[in-house]
Amino acid sequence: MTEKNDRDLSVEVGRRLDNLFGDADASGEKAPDADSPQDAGTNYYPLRVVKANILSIDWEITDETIAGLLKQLDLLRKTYRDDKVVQILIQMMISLGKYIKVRKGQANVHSMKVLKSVFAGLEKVAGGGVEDPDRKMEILREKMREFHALQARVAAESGKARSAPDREAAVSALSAEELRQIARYLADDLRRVIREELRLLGEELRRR
Amino acid sequence: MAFINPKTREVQIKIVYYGPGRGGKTTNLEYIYKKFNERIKTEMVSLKTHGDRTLFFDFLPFDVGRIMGYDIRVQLYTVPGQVKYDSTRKLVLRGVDGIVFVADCMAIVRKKNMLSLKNLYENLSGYNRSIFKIPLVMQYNKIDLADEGIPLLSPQTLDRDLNAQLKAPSFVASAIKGYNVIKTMKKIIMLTMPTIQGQLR
Repeated sequence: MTEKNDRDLSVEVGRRLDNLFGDADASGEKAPDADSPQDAGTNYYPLRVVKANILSIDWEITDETIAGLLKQLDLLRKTYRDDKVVQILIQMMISLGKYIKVRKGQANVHSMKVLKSVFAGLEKVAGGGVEDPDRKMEILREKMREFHALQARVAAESGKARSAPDREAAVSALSAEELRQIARYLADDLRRVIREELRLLGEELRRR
Repeated sequence: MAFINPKTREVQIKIVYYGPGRGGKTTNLEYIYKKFNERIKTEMVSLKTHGDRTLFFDFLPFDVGRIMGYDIRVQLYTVPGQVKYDSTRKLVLRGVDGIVFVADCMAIVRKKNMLSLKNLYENLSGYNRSIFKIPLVMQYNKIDLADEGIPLLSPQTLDRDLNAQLKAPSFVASAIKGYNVIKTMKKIIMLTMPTIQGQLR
């Protein structure tokens, strides 16, 4: 082939590709709004905002701070949609956040401790500190044990409140019902999510 | 090196879409197939796991037509992005003419992009081929995720991370929406032309 032929081949291939696929800009390919996304930065750390939210809640429980936490957790859930272990940890934090939102200052004294502990697990698993899948599962099981222990405590409180005698019982009747609802909510919601996620994890492990 | 059959006067151009798992390599091919199937009249072969991950590779061939006495056929391949399938990735790279590196714009997978590019470098070295000499296009995929509020890396940061030395042509893209999918493909095919012309001489 001569140099002229070379040029002709290139030009002709380009022309054929244009015929087949059209002008890329005119073929319905619309630029997404975020054509030039804002840089998340070289030190981007996706859990930073959640950490700040938890510290705020630890300082003062307000509707605003809890709403901020729940919003960030929801965002994280989308970001880590492919990581089942992270999904379960986030779901645990959402359940805890909702519980604290309802009970505020009357939440079980251990609830913030468990929330911070689950977050510490999330930091290890999602922050890149732990890559080994077995170690990730170990962390998940540990956090689930802590979560279930808290559930048991909340349920016990609920029972205690239900059996409390006389005037005190009458005054706290509403709280007892509330506690029972929360305990039920925590148990049902999380049991459903964890059962489903563990089933998927099991399937994935079997396939490997 | 492109496969050239002098008897049948057929030229096969092999393009491989490489990159980290879940980055959108298969989505690139699926977009091309779904959008232009009527025109390119071909079948896409895809081997997937139950979880919709690429198990072996995806394959989308199409004919460009007869040019200067040669039937030009383009073959688009993807590799499985998951780390454990390295031997498959290496196998798919055999005889590659051009590579599209599909990087994921999400900030959380920044490290995975870099590891995948390093893996590409190593696997090409296994065939005595240099990443600096092979036709290469960078595609920074998933920019549509910014609409969902997911933190992304800018094209400048991705260029710094992945393309500072390679200086390959780069496109931001949204494979799922088709944005810059065709531009990327056309660019990589055109970049392979000088080598193929050299082989034909």
